Amino acid sequence: MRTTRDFDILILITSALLIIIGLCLIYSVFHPPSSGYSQDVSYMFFNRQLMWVCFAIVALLIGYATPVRYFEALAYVIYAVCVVALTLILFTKGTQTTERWIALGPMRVQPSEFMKIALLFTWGRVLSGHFSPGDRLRKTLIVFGVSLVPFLLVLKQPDLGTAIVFFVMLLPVLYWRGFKGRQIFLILSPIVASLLIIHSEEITKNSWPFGVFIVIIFVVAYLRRSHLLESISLVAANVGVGLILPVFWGTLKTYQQKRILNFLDPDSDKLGAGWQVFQSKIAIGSGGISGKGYLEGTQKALEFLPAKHTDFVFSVLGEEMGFVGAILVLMVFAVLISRALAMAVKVKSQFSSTVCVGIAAYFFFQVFINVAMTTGMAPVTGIPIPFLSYGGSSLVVSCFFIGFLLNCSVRWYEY
Amino acid sequence: MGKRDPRDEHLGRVRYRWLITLVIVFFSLLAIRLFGLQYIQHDDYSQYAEENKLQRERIVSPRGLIKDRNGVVMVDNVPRFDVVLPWRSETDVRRTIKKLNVYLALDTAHIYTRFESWKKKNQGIPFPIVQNADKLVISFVKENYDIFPKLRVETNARRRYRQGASAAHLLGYVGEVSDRFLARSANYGYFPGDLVGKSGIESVCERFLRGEDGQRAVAVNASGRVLGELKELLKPPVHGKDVTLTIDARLQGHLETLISPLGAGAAVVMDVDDGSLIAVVSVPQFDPNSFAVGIAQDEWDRLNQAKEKPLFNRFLQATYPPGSTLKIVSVFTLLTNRLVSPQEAIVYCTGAHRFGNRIFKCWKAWGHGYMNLYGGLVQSCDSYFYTAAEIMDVDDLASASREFGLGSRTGLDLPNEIEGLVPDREYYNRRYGKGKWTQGLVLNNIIGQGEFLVSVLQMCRAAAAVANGGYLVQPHVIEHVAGEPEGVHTSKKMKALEGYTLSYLRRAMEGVVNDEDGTGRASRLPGVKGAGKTGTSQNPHGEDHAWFIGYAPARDPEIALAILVENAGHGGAVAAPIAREFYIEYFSPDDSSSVLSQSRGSVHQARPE
Repeated sequence: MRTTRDFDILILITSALLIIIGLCLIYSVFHPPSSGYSQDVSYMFFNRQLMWVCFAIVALLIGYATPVRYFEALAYVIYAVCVVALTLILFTKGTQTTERWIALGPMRVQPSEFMKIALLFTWGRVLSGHFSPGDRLRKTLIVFGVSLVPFLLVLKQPDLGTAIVFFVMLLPVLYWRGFKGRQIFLILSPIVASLLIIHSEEITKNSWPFGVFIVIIFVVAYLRRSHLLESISLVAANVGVGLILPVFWGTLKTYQQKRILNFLDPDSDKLGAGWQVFQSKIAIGSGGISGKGYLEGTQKALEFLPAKHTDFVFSVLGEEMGFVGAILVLMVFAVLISRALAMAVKVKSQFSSTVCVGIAAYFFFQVFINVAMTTGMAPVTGIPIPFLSYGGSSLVVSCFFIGFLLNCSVRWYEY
Repeated sequence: MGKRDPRDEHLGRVRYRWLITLVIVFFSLLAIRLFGLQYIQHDDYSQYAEENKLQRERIVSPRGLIKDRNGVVMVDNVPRFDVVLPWRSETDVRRTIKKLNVYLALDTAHIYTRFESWKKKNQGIPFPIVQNADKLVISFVKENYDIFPKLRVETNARRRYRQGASAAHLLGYVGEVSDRFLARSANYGYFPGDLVGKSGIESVCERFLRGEDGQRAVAVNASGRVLGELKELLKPPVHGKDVTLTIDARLQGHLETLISPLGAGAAVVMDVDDGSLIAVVSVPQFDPNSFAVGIAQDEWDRLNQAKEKPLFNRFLQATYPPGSTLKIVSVFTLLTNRLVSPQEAIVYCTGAHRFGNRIFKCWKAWGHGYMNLYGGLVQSCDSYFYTAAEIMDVDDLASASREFGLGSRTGLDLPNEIEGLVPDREYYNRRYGKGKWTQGLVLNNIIGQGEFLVSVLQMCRAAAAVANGGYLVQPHVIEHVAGEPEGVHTSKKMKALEGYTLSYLRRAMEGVVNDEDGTGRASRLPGVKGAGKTGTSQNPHGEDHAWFIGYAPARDPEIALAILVENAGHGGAVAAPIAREFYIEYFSPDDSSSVLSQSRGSVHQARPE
């Protein structure tokens, strides 16, 4: 029995609001005060995005109308299709240095975005049901296994940002499914360790941070010595990383090393990324509290603001709508994320619950990383901001998730 | 589908609260950051936005220097001036070029093609309209600020080859980067119009010599005038690494002046112990300075089409018949295969040798008389070797030649080395058919005529092998690159060049230079006992090539050398005296002039080989 009473209208309102704001921004980007764009260009992106909104609504309806158990049943199939698509990309790469799209007729879709749906479903299916203590390790390994394949495929594109989003999305999901904070720490610590090693060996030439980190590891291991296996694996994992990493680093090509270093130390690439961020900061900073007014932004008109309709669209928002507008949009996102988390508490099905947390994590990390990047707090990684950035795949995936949340809201009682 | 139990539901609420808290905390961080940018730093950023004429400029990093083994700078950089145009739109650039062309005669077609490739990659980076502008253009741009307010004069670096044409083939030259190279190295920060090493050391060490470009951001006013620089965005360029060569620039220059007057030729001088090259000469030469800022088409054509082929690297890429210098290998073959008894005079040289129905001539038409192995080498008696060759297997000589490093690359750290040719049974079978060639070919081979082809570098290394006690060293010209690990150079012990064979060869090569009837007498220098072997290789294209290979001092060898002068006649008369004058410079640089003048008289009296 469907109860319209339970339909979460707030989710629909917030997402609709964000889609409209996104369209307005894309219109604005190509309509600067003194227009330098030809008629074709100024409407081309807006019209295309409008078309994508239509597809996105279809995706939303699919997410809403399909019984959740179908998704659970098809999880592995969806996963396999996405992995095949990601693999295909690597083979059709040709001469281009990076290729993230695959052509479907006249449209170009980005399989790495759809991979996020596939991963959430797969995680949800693997992690639902009761765990016996022995199960936990097995399921953890499976979850990491299925995440590692797309992680490596996307890393090869290369799209480090998306690969990292795959990974960080998993952490809240694991936490939700009963992993303790310290276990998350156990998973996270070798990664932090390897980043610290590279950072101190190659950039700062200062091994203090890594030393401090290792001391912390040993202290934690000592405090939790009653759980001997856990302590030992914590130390072993970190020491292992310390031993293997330099060897692995040596096998990388110079340009690969450079890419990783640029990610860790964006200052080293002032010609490219640093320049973008500085221009973005000028746009946002010059917006002030109340902004310059819709369509009145000056920075967007110039060649200075790169990727202004995709990854850096938030800086156009910051410039034209100011602090007030930016905060309001962040608050709308916060409402959406909190509704997704509330839905995770409410639904009875463990699969749906897990996926809802994953959806919350998806929106949270995409928004946080993107805004942190445009304001110069995080390295430039090419993560779009959901609903606002130009680009069909991201919009379709976001709307599908909204459809799924709405689906859960009306059928929360289903197991 | 799992069912949730009540306990789980409680835990779910705890986790929900934690996650919500994290979201709020992280979003608050963003809010604080936005507040900082949009309220606290608002004025600063507004100012940037209003001026909004920030421009990125590339600071081209200077190329590394190239030095010789004593630290003498062979290649450095001097300033050059470019006229650059900061640009926003394409029409802007075209209009300016057109307008500028009214005043200065420009090669507009070339500028447009450069701009086409420039605009694809360098959005917002000023375009150099005139590269390496002369004084006239510079003063024009500076004086006509009102007509061309946007044009600026930028200082860049030009490559300077301090010794002019000296060692040109080794050092190579730089030129404007090609489209193909750009496509291949898209990720390494090359831009159209950049200079890149095209040959020689400049090309081999490109990745070291080229530094990392810097960048600065400058604020400009509405008319494009630079107002100031943004320190925050300054990225200083990283200087290219210096390359130190094993070459001695002074000796290199000296050896070049000895060979240049004789036309075309090549010479290599090597440290016998480690294979480092002290001088590598290829004449005629060219001046790499003329390439440094883009060579004019007619100059390029002239260099390319000249009959003497000045761009051709003769010490590395040219092969010649070794002539009698190969007799060192021949003696080695005879001794190791025990084909002759060294003391026995197996022939009475009459100036000609009959084999089958063919007559093989000795170079000395009136004959050497009775000859044993020692005399055969010292006096270079062909008849002796013809006689010995009658019982020699063609493959024995071939494998001995390979043992001396002939017929294969030496492993020098320069590209495009030539292998040369060592003919063996398989080669002849392929060329003439099995059984369709005779032992007569071996008679030609043993005196270094026939099909043998060697490079000057290979022969120098062969001489060094005798000098250093039988080690085939790996020749190299790069001593080290600043901040890079030292290169590793291998050296291979030759199997049979030791003991009696080695000492016999050395004694005979000393005899060539020091005996009264030795053919290499002209390389003799009082005070320094040398050793060597002359050669006169016939070639179908003209006069004989003159060869001399050798080493000095004979007792405790330091250097080995190989000298070849094209179409110059007898090795003993032409090439050996060059060795002598090089020794003078090498062993007594201070009083060279006196020794030189007093010995010059006797040099050219040498009997031909």
